[in-house]
Amino acid sequence: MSTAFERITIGVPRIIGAHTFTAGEIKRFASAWDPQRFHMDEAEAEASSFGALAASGWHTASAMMRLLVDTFARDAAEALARGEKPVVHGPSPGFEALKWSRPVFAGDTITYTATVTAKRLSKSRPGWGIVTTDIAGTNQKGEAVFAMTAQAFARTDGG
Amino acid sequence: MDGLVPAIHVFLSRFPGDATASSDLRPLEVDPTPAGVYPSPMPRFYFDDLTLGRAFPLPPHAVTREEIIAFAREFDPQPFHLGDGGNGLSDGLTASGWHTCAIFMRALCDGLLLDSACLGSPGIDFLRWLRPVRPGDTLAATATVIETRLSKSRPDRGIVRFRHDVVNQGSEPVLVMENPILFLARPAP
Repeated sequence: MSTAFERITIGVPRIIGAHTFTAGEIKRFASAWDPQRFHMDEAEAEASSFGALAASGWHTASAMMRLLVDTFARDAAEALARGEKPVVHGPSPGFEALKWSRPVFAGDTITYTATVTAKRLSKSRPGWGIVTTDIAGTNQKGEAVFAMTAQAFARTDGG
Repeated sequence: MDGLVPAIHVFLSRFPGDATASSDLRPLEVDPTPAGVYPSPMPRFYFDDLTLGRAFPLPPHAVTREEIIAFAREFDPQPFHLGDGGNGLSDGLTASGWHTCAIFMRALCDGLLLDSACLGSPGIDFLRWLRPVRPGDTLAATATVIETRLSKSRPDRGIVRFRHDVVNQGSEPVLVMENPILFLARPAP
């Protein structure tokens, strides 16, 4: 029987979920972590290069992470229901080519898609592999607003 | 460290409230500045001020257990960011990497961006989470200018590429990234 790591599928885009960014939530994130005026105040944002209240790019990325973690949890529950061991996810060493290609405005709904593009065994950490995933975020008009290529560890001997 | 030039800049810290307080003082009539021009009265740092090699030490941040768990509950509820079980590669409670990014971003705002003509950023070229961040760690970051380029199509602005280094209280690197940020050029007097 194949292991959970072996069952990770390459090249198939999956929608991991959608998130609507409310004005209140944008300001709350910004007031804690990114209090630039175009993330904090509608009038200031209208006078800025953004033209309207826009989410911090780190908020756009963090909201994606929440949907990814929820997807991992659903995948694990479904694997267990099939009598398979779930993928055991580890930390991430980092990412490349993160693009905030358009602002995320208050009221926008961003749909995130994840596509595993590669997986390999870790040379330095026996029992672990590294999965490369392209993540894309699109607003309700179909415009690309977010992209990144992320790496993450996953167990190779977990089942 | 490779590519880093010693800071010659005397860092002047500002309170984050300063930059937003100006909104109360703005006149009510329509602002005649064209769209895209930053409305801040006289920010300290324009594109022209962010010269190659200039390094900005950013204010430090002490990471608490409560903050790690609160961030993770909202954005990254993996067990190793919520409790002490570890993740197989690191023991104990560790902060979400996105939390470390958020801490860095706040420091960059307080130490540079809130007093600048920042127009936003198109992205992050690469980012590495080099070591886990744990409760009790104190993170300190430095933003160093590694490339500057005035826009050919819009010469009122330019891209400044930074290398950002975040270290813990033991001076161990925990995060490094390269990040272009767009700034207005200093308006002609």
